[in-house]
Amino acid sequence: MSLMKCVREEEVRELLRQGHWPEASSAEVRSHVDGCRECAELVRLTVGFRSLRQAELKEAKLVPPGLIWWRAQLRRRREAMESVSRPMWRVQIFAVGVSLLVAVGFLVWRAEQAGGWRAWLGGSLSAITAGLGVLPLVMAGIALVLLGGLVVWLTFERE
Amino acid sequence: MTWDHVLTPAKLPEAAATELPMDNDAFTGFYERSARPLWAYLLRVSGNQALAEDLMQESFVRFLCASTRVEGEVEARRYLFRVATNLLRDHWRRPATSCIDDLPEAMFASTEAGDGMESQALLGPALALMRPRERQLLWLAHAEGYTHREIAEVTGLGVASIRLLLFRARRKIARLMQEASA
Repeated sequence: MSLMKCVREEEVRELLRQGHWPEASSAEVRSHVDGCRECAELVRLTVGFRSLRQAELKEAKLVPPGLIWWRAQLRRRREAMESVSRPMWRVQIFAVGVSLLVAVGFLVWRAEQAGGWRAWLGGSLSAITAGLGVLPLVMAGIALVLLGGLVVWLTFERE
Repeated sequence: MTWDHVLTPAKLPEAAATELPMDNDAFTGFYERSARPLWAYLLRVSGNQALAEDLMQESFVRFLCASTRVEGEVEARRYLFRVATNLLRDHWRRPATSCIDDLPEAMFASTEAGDGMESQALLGPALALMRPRERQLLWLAHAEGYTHREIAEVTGLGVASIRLLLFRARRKIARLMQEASA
């Protein structure tokens, strides 16, 4: 397809863009447009599109700008909140990892004294059950499990 | 963990920049001047009034939330049109068909774009028969008066491609109008 165009097309286009067509354009340009198919087509289309645009500008039903403003603020705030909590989430994962490593290290280190631990734990449990009964111990265990679950849920909630 | 109760918006660091690039009054003025042209563009290109309204609102929200800073209203409006054009492109990409240029023209025939409003004119019906890309380029060039370089900025296409596509689109719509008037 040939892209050959009239040499005066840019001039006509500029007149149209600046709103100088047809009143503020010279008689010579107007007579050129009358005789040039390319320029006449350009003028016809541009004038048609402009009038279509004007008609549609009147038809537009717009929401209040305050609503858009409010939506943008909400979104911006949410994005800011996410950008703040993202590093915290990484720190949490790091802290949990380090805690686990320390706990495992500690257990390994103390493994040789496992007999002593067992004796101490057994003695403590006997003392508690003898003094208070089994029920408080079971209740404490349930509370511990529930609290643990809550902590895990809160930690993974964002994901 | 939810931090909403710990970090209220007032406690967010300044760097989080929850402030929008314009104040409310400046935005109201910009909106009053830009919303109608943007709506007309989206309506003509999409041929769907509800979609045009949705995309217009989303364009303004994204414009306000964008980190890109623009100088002056002309550039701001061009940026807004670029956001809207990207949203339109995303909308067209959503269906199974991957490229809008491969779709038959009948699929895009504009049915809602102000029926009757321009029945007296030949341009409206002819425009409705064009492909969305052609409608887009013609509207930006002739209704908005953008140069090829500006259209390239808005659409993300090359200037040379714009020149060729626009030339073809102009020929096509002129032919359609001629046929309709015959």
